[in-house]
Amino acid sequence: MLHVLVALLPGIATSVLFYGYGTLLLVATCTLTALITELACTRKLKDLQDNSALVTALLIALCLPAYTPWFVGMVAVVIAIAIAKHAFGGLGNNLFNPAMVGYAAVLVAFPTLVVEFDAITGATALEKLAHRGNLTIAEVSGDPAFGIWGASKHEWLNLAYLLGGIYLIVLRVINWYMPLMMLIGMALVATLLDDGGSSGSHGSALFNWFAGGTMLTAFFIVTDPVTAPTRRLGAITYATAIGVIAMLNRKYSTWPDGFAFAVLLLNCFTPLLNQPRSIPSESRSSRS
Amino acid sequence: MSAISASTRKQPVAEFEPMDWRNAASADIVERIQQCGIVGMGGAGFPTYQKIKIGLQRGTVKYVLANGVESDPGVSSDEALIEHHAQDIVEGLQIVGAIFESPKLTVAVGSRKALDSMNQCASSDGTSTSTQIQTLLVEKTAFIGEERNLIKAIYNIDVPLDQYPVDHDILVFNVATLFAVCEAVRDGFKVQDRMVTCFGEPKWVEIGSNLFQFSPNIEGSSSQDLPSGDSSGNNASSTKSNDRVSQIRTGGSKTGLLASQNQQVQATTNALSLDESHLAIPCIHCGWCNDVCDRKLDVENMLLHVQQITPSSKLAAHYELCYECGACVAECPSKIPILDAIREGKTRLSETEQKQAALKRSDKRQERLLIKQQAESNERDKRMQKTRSW
Repeated sequence: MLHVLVALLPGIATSVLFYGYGTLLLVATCTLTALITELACTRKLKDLQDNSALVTALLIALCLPAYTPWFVGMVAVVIAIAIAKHAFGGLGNNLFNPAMVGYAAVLVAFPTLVVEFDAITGATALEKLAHRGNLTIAEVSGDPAFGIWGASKHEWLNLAYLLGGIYLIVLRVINWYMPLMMLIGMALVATLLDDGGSSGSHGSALFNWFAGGTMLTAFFIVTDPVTAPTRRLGAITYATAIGVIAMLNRKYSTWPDGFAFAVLLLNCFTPLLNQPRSIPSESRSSRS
Repeated sequence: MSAISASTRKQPVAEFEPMDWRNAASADIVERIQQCGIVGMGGAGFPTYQKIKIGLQRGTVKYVLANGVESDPGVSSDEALIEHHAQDIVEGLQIVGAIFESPKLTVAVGSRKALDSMNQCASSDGTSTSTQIQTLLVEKTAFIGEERNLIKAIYNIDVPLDQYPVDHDILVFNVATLFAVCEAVRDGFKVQDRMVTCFGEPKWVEIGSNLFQFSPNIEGSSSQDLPSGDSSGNNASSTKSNDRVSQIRTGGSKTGLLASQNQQVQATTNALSLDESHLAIPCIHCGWCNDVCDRKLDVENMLLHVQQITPSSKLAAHYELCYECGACVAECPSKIPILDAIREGKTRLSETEQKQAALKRSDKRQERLLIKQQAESNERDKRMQKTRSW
């Protein structure tokens, strides 16, 4: 878990760089709430040392836009830890990803507060794409919300998470095929829908990779060991489906960035994908 | 540093006459092995004389392999034995070879130190030992000590899981077993002691002595360190005396079995280790145990099913195929004693099988009873319907 915290640092640093103290306030509030909630639920100081509450808090703090009011973060964290994690049985027994449950809950409960909005550029690129009416891609990308290859500012954030994710893969904390398949799933749908930048398109694959919460989801949320299937084929199915549904969510739903719902939907399938095979494969008789 | 020399071993007592095995009949050698009660000291405890007899019945044993690889992590009993008694192990191997018709004799070792010890004894012997016996160094992984894997690595022969090495003209013996064979046949000693890795230190231990006299000072551990119910389903008692009991395992720290209060050292006990199950946290479903399993078993599901009472019958084959190498336990980031759960699962499945077999037998009895009753009542009806002349 410690490696995950370290891998999130570039993302936090970049977020602070762009959004100033808003991020730090959110991180601090969420972390504190998380520790108190975890302590209240488990009644044992020792159980905090696996750092899972800390990771959940950070993920929520990083998913929420930087200037979200502090109580929204608190509510998200309390729901995530007390309900999504401990009410289901504690560490290792939760069916749904706690961070995603908390985030989805506040998305639905406080829709006007959790808007991807900041005082400088106004709405983010994904917001603009979602609510652009009939403009083509070329026309809307002149807007300052669009960066060089992705959404402005978010492209750097996504790059930072990508670096953190690669660090985790190199350290063999997470496997390489799950984030890859999620990104491929997204790219597939994005490319299919992208008919050259007309008013129906939702951006190219590259754009979608570097906008919104893509890289954070791909490397830190999809790979959560407890809620993802463990066998390789199951994990690949899971990750690809999340990518596909998240991309479809972007285009066809009212939420500018709906990866949380994609993740939660696929969490329902994890037990099915985890079913044991009835006959183990042939034993390898030599190992050296 | 293990500075164990042969002189720190209590001199064993000879119960039989020394035998000149080079000029003795095969039957006499086998009988001596049987009389001295030698069993497989690598852990399985299969009676050695039976293994040899099966080989004699087949009549075509071509290879005899001495397994000194010892891939159990943290255990160095066989290595220490090779270091100090390579000569006797070689002689034991030659004795077994003499029973059959000149098979090829090989010794497999897992470390450079053991290889050097073996080569030294071969060269100092002066006889044709070095031409008869081939010593091979294998790369030590968690799986290579298992006999089928070792046979594949050395002879490139595949022994399927429903057959034994003897079906492919190979016999495999642990080096400690061969040492016992040498002492039994050449010197007339029954199996009285063996090399045991006691908490990291290889020592000569008498078979039958109580395990706990070798335990290190574990005053520092208190009942607070034990969880209120750890993940493998064991109930860790909180009294002081039971603390000590649940804290020793026979075998490696990852693969061993929890020892009970009055347990004695047996011929198959190759190590004593401290139990670490109080360090376990819940399973986080990472699946690394599955990745590392040699036979590609579904370890995670085996563990979870045991924790939820009864293993599903779909996993029955998985539980049977597990040969308890302990690679999954070594890899688990939550430090769960997975092997305990797998063994529990095996027991529960066999209990379920026994219950089902008993039910089947009882059903069959019911059927036979019904058929008999039916036949009797038919008979009676026939008799009643027979017309009588009066």
